[in-house]
Amino acid sequence: MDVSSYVLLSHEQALRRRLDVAANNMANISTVGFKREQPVFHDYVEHADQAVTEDAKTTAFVLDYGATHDTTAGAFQPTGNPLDVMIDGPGYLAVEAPGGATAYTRAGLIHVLPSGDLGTISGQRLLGEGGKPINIPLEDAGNLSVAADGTVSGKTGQLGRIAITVFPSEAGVTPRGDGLMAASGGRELSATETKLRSGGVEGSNVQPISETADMVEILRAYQSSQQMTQSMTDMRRKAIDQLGKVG
Amino acid sequence: MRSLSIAATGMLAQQTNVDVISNNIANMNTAAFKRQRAEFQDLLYQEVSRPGSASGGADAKIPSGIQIGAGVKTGGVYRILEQGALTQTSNPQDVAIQGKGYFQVTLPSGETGYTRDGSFQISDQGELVTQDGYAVQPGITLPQGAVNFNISKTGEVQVTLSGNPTPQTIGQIQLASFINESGLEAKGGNLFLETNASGKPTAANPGEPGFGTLSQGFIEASNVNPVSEITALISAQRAYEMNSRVVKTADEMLSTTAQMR
Repeated sequence: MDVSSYVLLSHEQALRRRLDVAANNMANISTVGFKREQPVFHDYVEHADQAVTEDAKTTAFVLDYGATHDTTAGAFQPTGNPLDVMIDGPGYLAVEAPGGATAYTRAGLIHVLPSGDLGTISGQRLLGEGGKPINIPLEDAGNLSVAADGTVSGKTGQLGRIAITVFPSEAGVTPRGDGLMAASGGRELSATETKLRSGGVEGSNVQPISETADMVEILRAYQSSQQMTQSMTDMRRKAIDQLGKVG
Repeated sequence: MRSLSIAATGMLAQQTNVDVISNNIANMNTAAFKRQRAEFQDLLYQEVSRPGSASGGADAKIPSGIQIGAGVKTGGVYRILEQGALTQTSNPQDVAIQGKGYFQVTLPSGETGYTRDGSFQISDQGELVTQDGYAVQPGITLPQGAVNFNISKTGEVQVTLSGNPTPQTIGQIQLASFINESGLEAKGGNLFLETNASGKPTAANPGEPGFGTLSQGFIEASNVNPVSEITALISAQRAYEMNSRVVKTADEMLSTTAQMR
């Protein structure tokens, strides 16, 4: 059987997936703490029993394998809010997701919630050292600062410590939308290991130039793949025409 | 092909970004205006295959799964509550707050409004009112024949009457503070209203712990930094362009498909 058009089809599907991922990266160019996604493909090799030469026995299709996120740090963006933090190095801030589960984020946009606890802009409670929320008394609300080791202090002294959780494998950290990630098996960093920069947040690490270049490449590869499909069709048409004449 | 709709969410987000930036620039000279910032969040991810599911190979497990994001949304537009610079006006009715707190004013509806714009006026009744004529709470009424009007750092209002050199205290300006100031609802006219998100107001005299002090003869300028707004505007415009480029690429790919024979 002629599988060439199916091989090309698998390539085209992979290219469409790549464009979707590039589009999502580009859409999130201004999203704080966003990590660029990269699709991963692998080959699916099929062995034919009969072939003219040994080399022709295998046919490789393109198979979707997964998407990994590029953990390169984004640029520091000053915001003017003394509570905003950027994590220097790997790790995530732990927040209480709706339903009570723990979710992780690198978007360090921190505010005081109406309850007096520290939380994110979407209203999720931030979980500090030991999974405890950090409560801010009203008289401290105007004079808060965050030290490099995550210690939050106000006028009345230390109020708690923002903790960073690191994971053994970044591949297990999966995006869930709303800037949140789901993961398990993390380890909380101690005060000496914690490195935070306050007064700003981590920008998205999407590189517009490489995404644009990627898009051009995707488009051209797609067009040439369709061109090849076209040639394949022409070839088949010719074969049918000529074989028909023999008889 | 999700790219078209994904890019559309990106363009919408950048449009919001430009709206927020242009509002900041427009209010560059508004007294006590606090600049705003739009924050974006990624949308839900569609799971094409779950992490940990078996892949094509013999005992291979997909470590990260295939998740395609659906674009971006505006997570929130919040106020940056940095102190604005104090501008000297030498007008005795102008009061700036240095630090945390809001002036309380009575709105025509009877509700209490909160403002940091202390460019006050005197009404025909001798009351201290905002530029819109809303009375300051607790009310301060100037007696007839007052020649000198003084507001101390802690909010004490004193007047000197003609013929009497001893200043007399006629009132006390109080400030209100909120646990989550970003949660206040902006009403326009430099006024804010209390919401569930802001928490209940706590009123106290200026200078008490957690409250700012007053400076008479000054106005708090806006905290908009024109240079950073313009650079933010440039990057927002470019990001918009790049998202429209994604639309174009997706369109070209679709057109290639449509031309297949």
